[in-house]
Amino acid sequence: MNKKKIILILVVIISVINILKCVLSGAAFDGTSYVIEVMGLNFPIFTVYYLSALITDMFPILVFQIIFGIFIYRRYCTGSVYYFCRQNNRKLWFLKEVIKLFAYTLCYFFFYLSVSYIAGMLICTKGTDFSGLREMINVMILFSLYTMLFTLLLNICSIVAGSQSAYLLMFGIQILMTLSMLIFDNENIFEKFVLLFKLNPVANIVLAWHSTGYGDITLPAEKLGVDFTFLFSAIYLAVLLFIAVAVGTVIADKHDIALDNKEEQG
Amino acid sequence: MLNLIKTDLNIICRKKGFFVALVLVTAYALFVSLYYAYIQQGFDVSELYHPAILSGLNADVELSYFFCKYYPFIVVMPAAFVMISERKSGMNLFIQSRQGLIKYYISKLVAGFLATLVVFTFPFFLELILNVTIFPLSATKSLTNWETFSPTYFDYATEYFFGNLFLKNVYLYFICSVVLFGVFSGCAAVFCMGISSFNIKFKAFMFLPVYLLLYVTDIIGGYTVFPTNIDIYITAYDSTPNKKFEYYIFLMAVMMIIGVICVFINIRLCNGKYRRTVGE
Repeated sequence: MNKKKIILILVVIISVINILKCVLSGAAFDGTSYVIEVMGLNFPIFTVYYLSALITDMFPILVFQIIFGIFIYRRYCTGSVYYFCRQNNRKLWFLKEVIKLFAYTLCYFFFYLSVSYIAGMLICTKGTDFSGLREMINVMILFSLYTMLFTLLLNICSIVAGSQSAYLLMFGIQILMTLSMLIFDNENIFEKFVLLFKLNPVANIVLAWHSTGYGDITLPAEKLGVDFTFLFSAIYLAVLLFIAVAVGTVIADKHDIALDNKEEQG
Repeated sequence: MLNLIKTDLNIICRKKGFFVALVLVTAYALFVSLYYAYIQQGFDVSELYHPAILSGLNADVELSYFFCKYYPFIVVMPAAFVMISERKSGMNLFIQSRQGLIKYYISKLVAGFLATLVVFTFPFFLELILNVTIFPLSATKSLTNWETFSPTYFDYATEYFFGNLFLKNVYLYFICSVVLFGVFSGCAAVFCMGISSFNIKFKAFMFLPVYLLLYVTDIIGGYTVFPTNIDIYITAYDSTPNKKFEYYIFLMAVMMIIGVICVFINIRLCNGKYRRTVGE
């Protein structure tokens, strides 16, 4: 099954789930709140229940990571010597694969979010309110950058340590990053460690937590006057992605392909 | 057949996946135990929690929410990759030619079930032994913070699975809950192994089936009469109203049946392939 079919099936399944969530919730949304509360991840308080629900709602992101976490790594499995002796410059090859992976990530989130957005506007607002378009684009950028970062890290860790360990490690890290936000339930701690909050990649993908004024959604950043903008998140995730690409280029170039095939071990 | 199962169990227990999953679950269970030992230092015995209640499997422990989110990824570790490894290395042909297809697959499924059962029960039993050693047996408080003998707490506790057993003997109730959890994990492993018996190219795709199944059951739970979120079924001391034990057993049965059906479909496909090769 080729990659285009996989993306199409993923887009269809996840769009249908999102649309069903909207229809069955029975709530009336306006354009902006539909994007933030149904399509984006909106959990206004840092309690255990909401943070674990956040992990559940990261399903589209995690599914993409599971399927594309072997996109670059698969070339290091069976026949790697045959494949790489035909690549003159492994660094250039790696950068091309990263660009392809980013293109797939963008396509996936563009199609799935667009379908969910249009269907949501037609169902929830009866086609009268398309005001959430800017927020949808913001969500798409944040989700794409975050998913691309962790999918790339998955590929890099798989090259180094094999796919089983890499997947466990990366999903564990994402769950731990979400878990670590439990400490911000206390406003005093949030004020003291606001930098830790801003540097947490999972916090950066929740649009509702940014201090860009989304009506009456309660945000600690908004309430305490902390500056946590969408632009900061986008640039921060882009910087992390750039570092991951740099590290990955070195690892992909130096990794020994002749001696082991991690996919056949263990 | 018993020798085949013993051999397969031996093979699975020597794999890295089994070891990693066991270490992770044990680390989690011990962390919870030592965390409560740390925060309850210097408390009077009347303020201490019951040893069997301080478990990583307790729904009132905050970390258990996150363990349940990580669970779909750990449950496949012990056994789901074994068949793919043997198929890639070609060992499956040697073993199948000696054992026969049916015995090969059935012994693998049984060994996978047992190995996963051990991984998800042994750490919590170890934790229970540690708790019983660290904390006094006369401690009776619960994490709900209700008074131990209050009628409200009794009504709350009757919502647990085997609520009456809990009211008679907390230790037996906890042991039953852990064994049920282990059996559920074994069924998930059988489900994964059944799907892995098809020609899956990359081991990483085996993280998808259980995760997808549990996510879909979570989603439909919002629109059914009774809750279907698996987190409230696998954890002990959970008093969510209206939850059905029959649903829990049904889910286990569905996973086992799908696993076995996948294996039998594979056997028929393999038999067809061999007959065409031999030219019958």
